Amino acid sequence: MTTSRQRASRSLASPREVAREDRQMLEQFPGELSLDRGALVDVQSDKASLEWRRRYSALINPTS
Amino acid sequence: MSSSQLDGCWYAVATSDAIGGQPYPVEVRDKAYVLWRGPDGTLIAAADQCTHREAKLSLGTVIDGCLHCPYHGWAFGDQGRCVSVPSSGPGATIAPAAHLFALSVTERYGLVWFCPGEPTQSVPHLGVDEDSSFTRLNTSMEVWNCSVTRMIDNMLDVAHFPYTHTGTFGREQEQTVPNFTLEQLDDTFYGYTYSVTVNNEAEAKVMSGGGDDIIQLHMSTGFALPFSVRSTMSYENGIEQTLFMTASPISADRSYFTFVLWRNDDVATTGQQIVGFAARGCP
Repeated sequence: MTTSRQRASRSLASPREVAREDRQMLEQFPGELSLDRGALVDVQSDKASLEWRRRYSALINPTS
Repeated sequence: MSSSQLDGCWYAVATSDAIGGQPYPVEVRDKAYVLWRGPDGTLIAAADQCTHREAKLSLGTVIDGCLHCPYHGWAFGDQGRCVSVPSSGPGATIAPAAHLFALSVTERYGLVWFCPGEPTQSVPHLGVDEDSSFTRLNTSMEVWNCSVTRMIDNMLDVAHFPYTHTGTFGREQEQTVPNFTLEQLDDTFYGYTYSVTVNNEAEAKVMSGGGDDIIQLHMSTGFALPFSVRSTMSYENGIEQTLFMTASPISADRSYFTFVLWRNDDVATTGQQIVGFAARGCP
């Protein structure tokens, strides 16, 4: 019989493993993601990232 | 990452249970800070530098809620006030410049949130934390050797699932990403909703609560500036989960990362019990 604690532990195991896969990939890239418009090639599936980059740029450069 | 605007943001730098009876060093945007718990357990944050000779306070000790410098024993109490200069003797007048400048720190969702400047943003609001039908599960704070900007880009990206996550849920996922629409998801998060076909074999069934080996998952994913992303997942069997991921910049290429998971199918165990269990390490 699975206890609540075992279930909690197993619930965390899956997202931890997903995060480990992301970490393994991301730690291969040096430096920051470019925020300059046109510096990266973006496709339609990148539109959320593109909007985050636009808003983040506005946050850190409020006068530009 | 030199913008002063980032000084007004909140950053998750530790899990609440990681800060106990001793000083806890953190770094945000290339600056070192120290956190400790005062006499009543409330967190105190300051630059990791004694006002006397700039010794690292995080190497000191906390006694009865006062942080003692390891170099000359100066003691700092509530709100960073210097309460003792041993070399001056008991009762000596303490110069105002001896006090530490207390910085903003708070706890939410089992995480310690720190703001290095005058707060201009809010800690992301997660309404699910106030819903008693959900249980909160915390995991440890990790340090990743990559830029926080690359991490947020990754968290918002669906297209990498069938390639990066071949060992987990992405194995059976469609490679083509539907042309979703961006929208305000609630008062905090901006993003998109979508359905994906995901692998649901073996351990994945713990997340989903069972079902076929390949299932349809309804999700929403959105961001809150500067560095937080929330994904909600709804399964056909009624199980709902909220995965909150947050990253904080240590430097240009090092970042804190943690996630918080809420799910609505484990209400027999309180969140706090599970937080404690997770902190002790899960197999």
